[in-house]
Amino acid sequence: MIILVILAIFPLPVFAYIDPGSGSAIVTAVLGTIAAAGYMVRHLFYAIKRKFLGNKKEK
Amino acid sequence: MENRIKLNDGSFRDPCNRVYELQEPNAQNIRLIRGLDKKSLDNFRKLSETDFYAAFVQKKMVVISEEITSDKINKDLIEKWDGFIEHNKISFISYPYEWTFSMLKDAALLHLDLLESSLENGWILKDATPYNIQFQDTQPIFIDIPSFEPWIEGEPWNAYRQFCSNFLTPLLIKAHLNIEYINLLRSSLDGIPPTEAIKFFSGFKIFKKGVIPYIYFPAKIENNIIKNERDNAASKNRKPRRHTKIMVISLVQSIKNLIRKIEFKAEHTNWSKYDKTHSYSDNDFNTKKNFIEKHASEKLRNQTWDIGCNTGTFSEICSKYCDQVISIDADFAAIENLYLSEKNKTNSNILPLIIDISNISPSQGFAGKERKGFDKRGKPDLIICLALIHHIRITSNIPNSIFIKYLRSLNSDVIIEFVDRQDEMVKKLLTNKKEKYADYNRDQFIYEIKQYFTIIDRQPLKTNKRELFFITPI
Repeated sequence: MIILVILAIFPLPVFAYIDPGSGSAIVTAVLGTIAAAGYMVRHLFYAIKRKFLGNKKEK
Repeated sequence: MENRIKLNDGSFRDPCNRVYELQEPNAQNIRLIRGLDKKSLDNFRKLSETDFYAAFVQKKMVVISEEITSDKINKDLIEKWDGFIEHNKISFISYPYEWTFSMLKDAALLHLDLLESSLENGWILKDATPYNIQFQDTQPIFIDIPSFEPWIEGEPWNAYRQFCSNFLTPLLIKAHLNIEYINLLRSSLDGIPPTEAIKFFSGFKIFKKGVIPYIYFPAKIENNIIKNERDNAASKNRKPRRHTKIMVISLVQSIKNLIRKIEFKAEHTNWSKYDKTHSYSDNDFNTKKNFIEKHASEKLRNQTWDIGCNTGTFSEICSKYCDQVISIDADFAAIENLYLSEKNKTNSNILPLIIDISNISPSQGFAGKERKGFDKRGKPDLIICLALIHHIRITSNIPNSIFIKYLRSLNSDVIIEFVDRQDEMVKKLLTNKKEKYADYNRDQFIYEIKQYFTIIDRQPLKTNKRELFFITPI
């Protein structure tokens, strides 16, 4: 969320000569990366939780 | 004798396939045939063998489509295409600018469900336009089968921008700002782009759910590009970044979660609670229902139109005696409530749409033919216009004679209710009006009816302040 806010506030001079069509590709790349990161974190969290709870059950 | 073949006017943008309407000699019905090129045909054959697609068909999420042999198809068509599939027809076509909030939301969720499941199985939907979805009564169904393509490793979700402009943005501007997307989508057949949508969200409104990532951020990127590309700088050919499957699927899931959460609370308008606030006594209301039931049940009909359906009480009566009821009203909240209540019933045959009879959806798009006008999409055999005529005459300023002539042009039986000047609702409408509408009276109304229709039955209501007429075209 913070990354998005920062990206949103500061202009992006590196994209100066890109044609409008690839604007969408940039957006999906950034949003997709952030969404994937969230997805990975959630999966990691549940994997750890399962491992932890799993151990508890065995005891 | 050869089959009559007509190119479907809305199907011309995709070079790989085209839809035709085929009518065999001596046949009543029109078949929907799609010609496919080799690549699309191969894709369809591969798709039909997958389990995930079979699940879509079983759950009625996609229109039933079968490959057909070309023996009944015209020669010149056989030469053009490598193969043909036939689609089941949707009984009444409708467009996103006629759909209420929950209908657009359900269509969006259908698209994302199909997309997510496809991606998990190595496929993708190449487009994301709501014109690829139709409603069969209250169920959204995906109709553009060639949109399913194998997903190439590394490819982004190319239709993301189209999805946002056509589905997500209209939902967001309605949910957050109560702006009527219907008016915008009717004119802009490609949806609302982020650079336009951002203009609605000023100041702190950008912090509302979903605005920063899906409207503000894309608008900023696009505006930057426009600013820099506007003059004669040559467009640079850039290789699109590689997208992993997880990136694409998780983006789809994020948008799906957002859409699930956004809500629109239908406010109480004049019509949204009609079944509780109408001005009839219980006795009169029952008399009215019985009159409708009596004439609706006289014969089994194909299609009934309920014009000014409000909460759908009378649509429900008619629905028992016909294949389909098209329930239309200009009031957003009334149609939203009708859709939500019909959605939960099994075997509902009512299609609720937002249509203002004084300004129906026009024929439009390329050459004015791509999207059909409302009254060109079906032939009603019963039309009910209850508690409507006073609004047509006094609110919309359309003379009775012209409205009745229009009804006659639809070639259908009609049940119409005349609301007399003595009725309190008409008095309310006339209160602050300068014009007195001298021609709005029962005798004049009956005279106008008789020019085009035969009066078969009449029923006074509310101590004769209202009267129902069952009329058939001359």
